Amino acid sequence: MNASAFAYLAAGLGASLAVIGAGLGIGKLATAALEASGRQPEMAGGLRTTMIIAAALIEGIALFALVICIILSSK
Amino acid sequence: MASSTAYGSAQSSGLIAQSTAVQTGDVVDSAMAKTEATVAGVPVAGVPVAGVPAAGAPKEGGVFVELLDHLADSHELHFDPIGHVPLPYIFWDADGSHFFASEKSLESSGAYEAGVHGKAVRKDGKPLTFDMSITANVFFMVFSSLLLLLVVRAAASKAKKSLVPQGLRNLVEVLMIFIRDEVVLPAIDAKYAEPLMPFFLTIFFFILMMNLIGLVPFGHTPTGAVSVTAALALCTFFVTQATGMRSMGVKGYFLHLTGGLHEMELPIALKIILILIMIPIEIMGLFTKPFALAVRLFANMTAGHIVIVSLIGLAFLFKSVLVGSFVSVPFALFINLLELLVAFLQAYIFTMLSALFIGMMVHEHAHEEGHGVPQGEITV
Repeated sequence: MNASAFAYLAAGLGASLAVIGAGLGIGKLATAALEASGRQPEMAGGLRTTMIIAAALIEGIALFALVICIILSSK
Repeated sequence: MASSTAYGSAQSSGLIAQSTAVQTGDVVDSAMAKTEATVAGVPVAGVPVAGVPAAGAPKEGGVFVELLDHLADSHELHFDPIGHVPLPYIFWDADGSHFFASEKSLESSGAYEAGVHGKAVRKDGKPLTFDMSITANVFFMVFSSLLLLLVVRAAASKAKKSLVPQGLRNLVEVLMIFIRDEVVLPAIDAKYAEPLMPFFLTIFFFILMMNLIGLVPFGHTPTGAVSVTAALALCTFFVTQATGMRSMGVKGYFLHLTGGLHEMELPIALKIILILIMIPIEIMGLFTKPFALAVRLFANMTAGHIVIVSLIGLAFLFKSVLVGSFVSVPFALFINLLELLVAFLQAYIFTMLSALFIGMMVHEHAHEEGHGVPQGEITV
């Protein structure tokens, strides 16, 4: 295995790990938001906005990792 | 990272007869590789079946790589079964400004050639100083803004005629009111929000239009290029700083970079050390926010397209009509509809996060003044 093979491997592994983390995070977030809006349906609108903001931030972190993976794989 | 290099590692020869672009991921190598490809008997017109190598060329991705190539910016509009429409080249280099109506006239000039993704390259290897060519991205950006102008003006002229919303005006008004009441006003104080409304409405509708135009057949998504989203995020960056300076004053704006430490009661040595640590962190924070905005929009728009390409590619990979008609097309259709949702969602998220970032600047001001403001109200 040469250096670029390792780079591709790292890119693939990195992308999958980042996505696992983001998936867990957004899953937890959606669970909490759904439970809360089930308990208090009148708050659903506000909760949805807050949920989307938090999801976007989590997604942002995952994207930072993916950018590194894209850079690695386009080496 | 330029969008044109994102898939640059893929090796493909120019399969479309007109396009002589050879991707080796390296502009310098392209001239050499091109001669090799021509010797070997490519370019070949038409689309080869995946797995069957075109004469002499290393075809590891085959049709898949060529499909991915369509995600990148190009110097012509693709109307594929019918043909290609060339777009003009406009650029500056050491010899002054140059204009070529199409790739053909660029090639026939002798001094230049079309490199990776049709980009103009000097044959003597000197770099261009400034490339302002009308690429597919630029074309569709202008096209979507003109379309937007038409749609919104038509809606506005309807509003002049009668007070009752009707037809097109309903559509535009619903979105505008949504952005004003659900996105901007909850995030920013009304005093600062009102003069910024045109900005938010513009970025929302502009991004929405650019996202949607990629879903139209033969369309191209400008927001799928990181340079476009970076420019949009830069707009948000400047508006954020300007609003910060307006609400806190220039002095207050620079003082806020200490993270509020300057007014805390701490031993002076500790304070200096902490401020020295805080200032770089706060300055980095200023730049990571628009960076995240740009990358989020770019990645979301590109990801959907790559998924569609992959699903369509399955049919070519298995060389099967069954897979094509029962897997590729239904799933690609589903993802396409999902993309419709994503187009709206990402335009909404971009606008909402811009509003939040700007609102944070205004609220920091309220925090600094604010002995009368209850704590609960300033948290975002």
